[in-house]
Amino acid sequence: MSWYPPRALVFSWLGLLGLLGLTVFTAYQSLGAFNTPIALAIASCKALLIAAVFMELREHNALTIAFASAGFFWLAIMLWLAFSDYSTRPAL
Amino acid sequence: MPETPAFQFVDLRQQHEVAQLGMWVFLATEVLFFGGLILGYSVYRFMYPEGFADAARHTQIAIGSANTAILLTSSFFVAWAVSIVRLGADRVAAILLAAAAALGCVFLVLKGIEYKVEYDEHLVPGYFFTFGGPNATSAWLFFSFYFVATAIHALHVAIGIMVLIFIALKARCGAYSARYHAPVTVAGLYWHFVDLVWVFLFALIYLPGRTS
Repeated sequence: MSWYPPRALVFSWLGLLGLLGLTVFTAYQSLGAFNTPIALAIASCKALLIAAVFMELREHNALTIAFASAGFFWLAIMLWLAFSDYSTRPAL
Repeated sequence: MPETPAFQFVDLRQQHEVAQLGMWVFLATEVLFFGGLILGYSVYRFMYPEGFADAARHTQIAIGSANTAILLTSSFFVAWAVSIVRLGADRVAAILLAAAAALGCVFLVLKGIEYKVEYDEHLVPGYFFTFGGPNATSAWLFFSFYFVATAIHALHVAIGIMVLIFIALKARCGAYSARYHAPVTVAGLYWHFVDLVWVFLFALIYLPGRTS
């Protein structure tokens, strides 16, 4: 009976800590308008790693992935519609 | 030990799958719950970019980064426990779950220290709120989001710690086996989600405005 962690979990954990270091490092670099998109892109990579490996979505069928994606799909609609309003308002 | 499925299921595998789908439905409601907060933050950050950068610079990035590493590590322990409880190593899994719960407690203690620092710096929105410069109003908005979002997240962490301790104790008593372990998987999904929310809160709260 082996209780060692699966290799995928160890690599994901180290990858997540590496991405954390990377995102803190890039936050201190002057990249102008790119700082926020890079921070959010790294956060999304971390979230995907957590969802795919830790939450085991990569081993699940399409039904489970559809259930897992549903909340994010509706969140995307909410953000999209809200910003299609706020980003097109003329300055007062 | 429920080695036989409940009457409405064909077998334990199907019961396990339904339990996980149920947890994913709950997590979808949680995505939209935190999503509302993040939408509010995004709209105000869009309207007051300088003020939000100025306010975010006053957050404790060292504590925030340490807390991110702590939650990621606790998630690793939970994922490890879930993977070995299937092989029948329920006692080792109990230790890993307890370790993850302990890391959750460290997270909450660090969060408390961080709140104390912000209270001393008069950054809590209210009568004693003080913020120098032209961005006081938008800093008030930022710290309102900060305290609501992190407090609600901390509540989720606290609930997660209680769930992990409960599951660890049950695993210690031999309640789970290679055949029956759905509660460990489902509790793990909740804990990973709490971690996932923090990853985004960290990027939105601690990282803006570090260059200027």
